Amino acid sequence: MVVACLAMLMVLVFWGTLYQVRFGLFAAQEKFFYSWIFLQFGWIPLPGAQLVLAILFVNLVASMLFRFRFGWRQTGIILIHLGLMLLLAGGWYTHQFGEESFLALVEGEGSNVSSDYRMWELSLSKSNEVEREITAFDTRGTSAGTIFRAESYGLEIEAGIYHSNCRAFQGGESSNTVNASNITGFQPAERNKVPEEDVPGMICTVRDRAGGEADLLLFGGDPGPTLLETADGPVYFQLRRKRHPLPIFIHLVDFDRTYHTGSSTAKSFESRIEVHVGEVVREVLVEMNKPLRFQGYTFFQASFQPLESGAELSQFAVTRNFGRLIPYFATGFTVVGLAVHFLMPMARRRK
Amino acid sequence: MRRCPVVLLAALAGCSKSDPEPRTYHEVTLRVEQPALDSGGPAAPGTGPATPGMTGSVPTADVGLSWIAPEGWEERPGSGMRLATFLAGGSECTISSFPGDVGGLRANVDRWLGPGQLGADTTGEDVSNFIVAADRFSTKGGLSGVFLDFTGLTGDGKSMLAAVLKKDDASVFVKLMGPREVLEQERDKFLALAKSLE
Repeated sequence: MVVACLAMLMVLVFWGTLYQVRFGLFAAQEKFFYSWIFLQFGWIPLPGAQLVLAILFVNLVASMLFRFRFGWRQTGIILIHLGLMLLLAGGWYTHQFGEESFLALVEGEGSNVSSDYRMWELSLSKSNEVEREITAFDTRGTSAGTIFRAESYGLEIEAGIYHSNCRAFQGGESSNTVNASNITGFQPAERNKVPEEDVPGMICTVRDRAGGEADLLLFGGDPGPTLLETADGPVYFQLRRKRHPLPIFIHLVDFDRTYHTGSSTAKSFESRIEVHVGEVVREVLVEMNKPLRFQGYTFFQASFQPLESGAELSQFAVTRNFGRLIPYFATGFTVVGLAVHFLMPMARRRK
Repeated sequence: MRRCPVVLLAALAGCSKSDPEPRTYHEVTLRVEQPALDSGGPAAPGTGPATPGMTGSVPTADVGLSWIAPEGWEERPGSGMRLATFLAGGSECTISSFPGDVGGLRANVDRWLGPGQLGADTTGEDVSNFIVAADRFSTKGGLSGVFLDFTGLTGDGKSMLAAVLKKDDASVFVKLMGPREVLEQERDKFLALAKSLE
């Protein structure tokens, strides 16, 4: 069974590698590695990596429970099996509960939220100040007729049209929708190979508790929120990348980069940031391969972009993974298990 | 057993999609007012800010320019610093203007060739020679400009054609970025567009 599972994993890696060349990394991951069953060539049902790994895990547990005779002589084998089981369990845990997002800041800017790469949200707030309370709805699965109920705002928002990826237009025939960027319409577009590049659009009807009604056009590329006067006061609406609240406020003080002499190849880039935790402020230098770690979050220096204004934008990849140490423990178990397994017979022979 | 379909329907109804649940959080986002990015449009992670609250006023791009759109190119209206966008052979061509010299020609060429954009592996000497050898031209309206064909510096993948012009105190950029084949095919139309500026 183990050999069959490992062989299937090899096949999946091979197919996945070929598939991602044409359809992109995300599509390959979804089809071959995050699936239980998938259709190869459109009609042959085959097990995905999730199913194969689950079988491998169950097989390891079963072999330990029913085939092993527990004793000192089996210590090595048991440790190896425990290590492998821990590795598989850790992979599952990271996949299920890990979060990946990014934080893009221009020098002088700061934030306590990071943005999701793929997920979007409909956000509502009563102000557009630096500090504000947000009520947000995930837009995954939104379609015509989806109702977003924001009771604290006295609003009901009904999606009329929702496109996961679209192109927006200004000008032309004026529509009766409200939009902050004077966008008058959008057209659905094919999903990108890289889902991060998709930009959604939504036309929705907002109803307040006084019976007022307005049609909003929200586009993921809107540079700012759209303001609407409702019975309960002004409300700012925005379709934007889903935000993940962080336990700290990060303020980008300075971004610096150096190039290899005589070329435009980056040698290093680093961000000097202030980390605010409550009233406590400390300065940290985040460099390539030297991330900031805090309460299960890791902030990596991911990329940068010089702006036309002369300022620089620094982007951090933000991961939240409480299981990041599991692979180290798992590998440790396996290495110790292998050592014990091979050294014990040698020691016995010497005696 | 007759009740099975009823039970099944009830179960399915129970599983039907429910309305999205709201979540609330406290957001503190300090933004520095920036002119709209040259790249324009929605920002993808890794390439742009994707900022939540870029609510600052966007400086107007109106520097009193007009142009003639090449035949076969689809023109779309601009916004912010972007005066116009054209779809050319599946790639995007933009005309944008910025106050001042935006760091000068050399700084802009370095930035375009840098890792965030074309990612070309060039030396400082290559860039100097490239700028010296670039074609100079005049537009219909008497503006002087430099035409930069980056296809000679980049590999077979993505490359760029750019024209940098001065209009009073502003810098005007005409840029077409896309696959090398598209750039070669659209090169004459690109030059015609740049030369039509007045």
